Amino acid sequence: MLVLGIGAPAARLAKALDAPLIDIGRDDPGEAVAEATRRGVNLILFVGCPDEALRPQPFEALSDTQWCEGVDRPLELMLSTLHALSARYQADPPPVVFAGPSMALSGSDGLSLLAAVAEGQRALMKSAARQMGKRGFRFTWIAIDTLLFAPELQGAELPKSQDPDPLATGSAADVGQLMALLSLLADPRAKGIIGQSLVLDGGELMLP
Amino acid sequence: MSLLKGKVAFVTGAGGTGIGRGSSLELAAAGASVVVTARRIDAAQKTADAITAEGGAALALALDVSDKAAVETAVAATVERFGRLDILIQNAVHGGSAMSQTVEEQSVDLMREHGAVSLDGAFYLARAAFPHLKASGEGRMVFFTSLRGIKGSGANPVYAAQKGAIRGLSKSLAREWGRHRITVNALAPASMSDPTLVYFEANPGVREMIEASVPMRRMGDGRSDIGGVIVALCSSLCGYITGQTLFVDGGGYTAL
Repeated sequence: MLVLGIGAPAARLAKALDAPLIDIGRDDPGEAVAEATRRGVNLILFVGCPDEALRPQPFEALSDTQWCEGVDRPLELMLSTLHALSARYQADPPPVVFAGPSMALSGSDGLSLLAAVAEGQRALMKSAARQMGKRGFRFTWIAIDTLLFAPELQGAELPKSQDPDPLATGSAADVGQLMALLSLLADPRAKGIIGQSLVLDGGELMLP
Repeated sequence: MSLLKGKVAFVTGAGGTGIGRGSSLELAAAGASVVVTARRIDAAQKTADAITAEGGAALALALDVSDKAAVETAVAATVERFGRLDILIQNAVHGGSAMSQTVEEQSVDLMREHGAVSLDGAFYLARAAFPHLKASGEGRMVFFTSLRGIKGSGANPVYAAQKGAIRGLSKSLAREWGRHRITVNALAPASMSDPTLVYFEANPGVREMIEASVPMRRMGDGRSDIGGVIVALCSSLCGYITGQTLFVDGGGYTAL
């Protein structure tokens, strides 16, 4: 596995998963994907969450630069990464899993950048899956429990559950569960899972 | 009908023949004073004239929503003219939204061009309007998203990404602004509009295919189908609906 991404969540997940990280905010996404081909990785994990989006603040206080760095730029980096994947992999590309925080599915008070960029990336993932799936590309999205994805958001105004006992499993999602899910998605037998959004949150949100 | 009597609405992308114009006309017919904006003043004026001809109140402004200063000036002009701003309808979208392209064909520069209107424009508008929507006591913000922002799009990935981002923004603003009695929702319409017409002309057979897939067996009308929902959503009747994506698409998408 290789992690491509930006921001603290990418670095943290790479470390937790014991996978190498290429920072595509610093290095060209084309070079990052070339490195993936050289290594012959069995899965690419893309985590395009900028640090800018992880600082809770009122929407009206956001600057133009914060909006650009928090939303526009990460979407552009993901598009560049898709271009590189398309160009580099002529056959047998590895599955690519995109990841974001589960809160983005619901939105969150003070975290409009984070929800906007994650939902934008998720829609881009689906679109790319629709277009590139016939060439063997298999793209999916994992919405990771927000505090596992970004523990720095502890204390932020995250969406509150209306259920007194919100976690179906009784405990929060952990890195071992994330690794298990990634292993499942890396398996060629999972090729029918494409363009989907999988929520790893201990069974709290349960999408409609 | 005077559901919106005394309210002031601001509509972007209202100069064509579709949703922006239809929403403007219906908002005015429901009693709101409407600021009609479009990139070209003659197009905005045409819609404003149609409102006036029906006995409504309108102000036409030329506005490129990707120009932050112009957005702030337009919002200020609205408040100066009408004394308040209660309703913001963000409909403006990049002219290439209806194009069919592959991911590979869509450059980062193209994404920036689209984003300047669809994303940056929405950001500038919401930020500039916020103090006025808050002061309204019953503020309404409506973004236009798309089914493509939910399902993804095999035709235009950049457009889908930005419509998805708008949904994320809309949901967060709903959570953030609810305490100020501002509702924020996104509408996913299936309606005839200028870009839709261009798309259908460029892709023969697509209109028939879409209409066959819709339970109502037709595309929506910008005024009667979409504008009517906008009026209801912006009225006191819908003060408890926020953070939602509403499909106004003749039943085309029923997966939720």
